Order: sequence, then C-alpha cells, then structure tokens
Amino acid sequence: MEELLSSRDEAQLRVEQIHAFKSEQLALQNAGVFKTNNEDSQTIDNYHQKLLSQLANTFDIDISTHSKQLTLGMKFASFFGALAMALSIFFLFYQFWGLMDTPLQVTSLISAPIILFILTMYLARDDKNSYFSKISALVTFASFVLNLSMLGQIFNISASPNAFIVWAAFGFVLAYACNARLLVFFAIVCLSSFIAMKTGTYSGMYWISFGERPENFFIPGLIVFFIPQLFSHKQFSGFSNLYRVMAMLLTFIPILILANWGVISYLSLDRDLIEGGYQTLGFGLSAAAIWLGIKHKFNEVVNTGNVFFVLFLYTKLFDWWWEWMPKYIFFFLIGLVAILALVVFKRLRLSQLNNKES
Amino acid sequence: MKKYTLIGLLILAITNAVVLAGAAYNRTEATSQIKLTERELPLVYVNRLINENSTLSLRLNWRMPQQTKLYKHYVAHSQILTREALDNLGFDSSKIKTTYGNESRELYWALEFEGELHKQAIDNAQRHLTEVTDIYEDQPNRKNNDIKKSAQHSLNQEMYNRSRLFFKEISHSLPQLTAKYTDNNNIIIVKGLVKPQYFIKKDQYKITLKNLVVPSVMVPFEYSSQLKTLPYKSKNETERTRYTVNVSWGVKLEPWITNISLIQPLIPHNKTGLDLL
Repeated sequence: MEELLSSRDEAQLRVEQIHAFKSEQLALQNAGVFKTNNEDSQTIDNYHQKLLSQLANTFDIDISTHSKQLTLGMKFASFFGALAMALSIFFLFYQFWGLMDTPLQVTSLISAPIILFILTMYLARDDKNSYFSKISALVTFASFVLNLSMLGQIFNISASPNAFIVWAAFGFVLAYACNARLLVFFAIVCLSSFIAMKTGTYSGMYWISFGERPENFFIPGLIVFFIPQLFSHKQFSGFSNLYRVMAMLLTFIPILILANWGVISYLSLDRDLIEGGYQTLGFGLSAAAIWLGIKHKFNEVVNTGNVFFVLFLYTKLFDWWWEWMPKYIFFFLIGLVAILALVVFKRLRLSQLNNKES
Repeated sequence: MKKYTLIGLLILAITNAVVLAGAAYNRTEATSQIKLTERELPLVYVNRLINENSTLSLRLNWRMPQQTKLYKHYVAHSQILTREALDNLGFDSSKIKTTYGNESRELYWALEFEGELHKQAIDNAQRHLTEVTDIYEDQPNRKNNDIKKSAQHSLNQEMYNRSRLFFKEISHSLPQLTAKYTDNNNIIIVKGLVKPQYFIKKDQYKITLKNLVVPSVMVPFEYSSQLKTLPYKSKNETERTRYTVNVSWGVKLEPWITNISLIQPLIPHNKTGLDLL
C-alpha cells in the first residue's frame, strides 16, 4: 500500500488519478480498444478501494465528487463562521469594556487570547485540518489584535508600527499550527504593512503615511515571493500559491498605481518619465511572471501575470485613445486587441502541443 | 504542535509585558500636569446608531492663535516659516515639493493654556464687537444688527465656551522645548504631526499642524459614570463648561486622567459677553 504520500495535496492528486484511470479504462472498454479480465479488474478495484479509504482516513480528503461538494460548502461555512466569530468577539469587548475597571479590562484583554490560543492548540492537536481549530484560530488572532489595540486606548499609548510585526508573527504561528490559509493572508498583510512602514520611516516619512508611497511595498513583495522558495510548504495545502499571489499583488498593484500617477513616486524625475518607466516595468514583469509560471508550472503565477498584463494593456489603451476617439471605435479596437491576444494564445498552445507530440 | 504552542504563548506574554512596562514607564514621572475643562477636553461623540463602544474618551481641543489684530473665528492650522526655520525643524527644504508628496514628521508641540494667546483672542473679539456695535449705532439696519449679534456670540464663545488651549511653539528637540518652558506651569508639551509645503509663486514655506499623536484621552472607569449622565452638547450651544479634568503627561508624552469633577455654571445662562463689557 502507498506509503510515500506525505501531504494532503499529494493524496488528493492520487485520488483524482484513480478516478481518471477508472473513467479512461471504461471509455477504452466501450470503444473496444482494451479489455481486462474480471480477475485483474477485481484486483485493481480492491486495491483502489483500500487505498482510497486509507488516504481518506490519513489525510481527510475527498474521495468522491459528492464529498468534494460538501467540503466546498464546509469551507465557505468555516470562512464565514470564523469571520463572524472574530467580529462578534470584537463587538463583545466594545459593548462591555466600559463597565469594567482598568485592572479587569487589562486582565480580560490579556487572558482572552491566551485562553483561546490554548483552546486552538488543543483542537488542532488531533487534526490540524479541523474546521473548528481554524475558526478558533481566527478568533484567537482577532482577540490578540483587540488585546493590543485596546491596551493602547486604555493607556493612551502612541500608535506604533511594531504592533504589525507582532500580529504577523502570531498570525503565522496560528496559520502553520492549524493549516489555515486565511490566517496566512492576514499574517502576510501585517508583515508587508510592517516592512512598508519601516521602509517609509527610513526614507523620512511618518510611519502611518506608508501608503502614500506605493514603492514601499516592493520589498515586502519580494520577500513574500521567496518565502515558499526558501522553505518547503509541502505539508501546508495551498500556502505556496497564496504567498506567490500575495507577492504579485504587493508588486503589481503599486506598479499599476505608479504607472498612472507618477507624482507619488520616490523618484525625483519628470512625471511622464516615471509613469512611462513603470508602465514598461509592469509589462515586462507581468510577461516575465507568465513565463516563470509556465516554466515552473505555477498556475496561479500565470493567471495573476495574465490579469495584470491585460490591466496594464487596457489602462494604456485608455490613456492613448479614450479622449480623442469616438467610443464605438475605442471599444471596437479593444475587442480587436482581445481577438489578437486570442490568436497569439492559440498559436502558443498549438506550438506547445506540437512540441509534446514530437 | 508543542513548538507552536510555546512560540505563541511567548509572543503573547512578551508583547503584553512590553506594552504594560511601557505604560508604567510613561507614568513614572509627570512631565506636565494641568487642570483643563470641557472647553479643552470635550467628550468624543460618535453616531449612536453605529457606536456600541461603552467607554468614553475626551478629545484634546487645541487652537491656533490669532495671527492679526482682526478677530477670526477660525484660524487655519498652518504657519509660514523661513527656509532656515524649516531646516531647523529637521526638514530638508531643498526636497520639499510644491504639490503632493511632502512627508509629515513627528515633532514636539508646546501648547499654552489660558495664557497670553487666549487673552489676545478675547481682546480681538472684544475689539471686533465694539467696532460693529459702533457701526450699528450709526446705521441701525438689519444687516448690521446681525453682524453685531454674531460678534456678541463670538465674544461669548471666546469667554465661556471655546478652548483656551493654544498652539505656542514647535521644536524637533524635546530637551530644548522643555528647558524653555520649565517655569511655565500653563504649558504642556505633546507630540504631533507636521507637514511642510512650498509655494512657488510667493517663494514661501509653510507648515501644516496636522494632528496630535495621541489626540484623545480615555476616561477611566471610576470617572466615566458621572460624565455618562451629561446630555449631548452641540457645538454652537453657549452652555457653560460642565466638568474639569486633571491630566498628566508622562515621560513618553502620553497623557492620563488623574481626576474629573463636575462643576456649576460660571455665569448665568441669560448673560452674554456684551453684558460683561
């Protein structure tokens, strides 16, 4: 029996291979190309049945289409449940903390995340993919955010960017302990905000104004992109994809903003030159992302690269033609560009197929 | 799992310890202590429909001084500076752009309570009222009467309702500012944000005083019940101040409330500033 599968993603892939094998075998038999004797068929079926139940027990994966649909429903329920519970704990404090004296406020603010964290770890101990541990993890994270921000209010403390690095660290701990992608998202947001704030501070601005210079997000984008390259995330379902998509958003959104609004750049150059430079960089980087994604089979990188390439293209076309061209010609040209892109993609696809055949 | 549990608990413990130690350190010594009133520390009101916050906060209401002898109800939170003065504040005047992109900086502000700057605001308001009263007596028409009423209202507001806390000076050096005002017990030093600007046509540098780093102070539980009984007070109401607040600023220039007391109106409601001239 299979012993080599080490992650949930690999196990799910194996299940899909088995289903694909079965349907292809049936299609070949129906077409009269291939026949198996009953004994062989029975042996394979038994093997697959045993393997599927073993994988289902070990990795808690979906072994049928029905269970896959139910899992999707559970994912949505757990996502909304976690967000609602986090908001609920926030408003619970808000509603009642005025009725407590300062020592009680401080005690409850500090003890809430500690108790919830212990509960989360207890739930995640037996099954780190449990939806309940993920919900509990998000509520714990929300209570820690509440903990620091409300202590700040109670003692009238000057706001500090350091809170973001602490939230990021705690978010990562919870995310890896519970295999929770939503928490990786929040942790990346906190981490990149912290790095952007510090970059802004080093270049002379007040930390809270970090968003005024989109270039502050380039360093966090780069760091986040290389995290899954430096550390293996085989055990954590979808983490690598999320890191790469977030890194691309952190890089491409600032480039898109600067390509259209060069005045907010750090560069002391002519505005048109800055915008032109970022437009070229945007096209170049999104094309490079598509290439990199195809080469390393990172589907999410290809898709994100495609989206941004199209966005850069259309904002440029809008820039050039919207003002002076009749709208029907403008939209006609946009349609033509899309058809041209289709032709190019089709030719690329064909050449790839030919390469495989040869 | 043990590894995650240990790291998580360490993060929680160390962070809270650092925050509480910072708050305790701030309160080891009071750098400024002052008794303010509702005029300088009004209650922060939020839309009751969306507000479920059960605590109360008081907003530090500071004003810019009158810059000319003409009375102005509102003075913009900005100041014209020389290039040297701007550089002395830690800005690099050569990098200051005319339009978007000038970066704010955290600097030390000296605020004066009930001092010369407040007296100047009252004097200006009184002078304005005398001028418009003279005009009304020469030409008693509806327009002049309205102007006179407005001037009366302004004087009233200056004397009994508006904040007496005025911006006095700005510095990038806390020791310098503290040394300068060490004998003045009506000066408080706080941290605030300042944004520079350059006007190419006038070849003029200007700073905008944006906001205080700690713009409001939370009311401790022991004092909140008495403030919660107070009804909502609109901005234009000439109702008298209703409470006094003892506030201290600590080593990190973070404030805290040491006492709040409700007070009786200072002058009867039917009196105006004109009656007191």
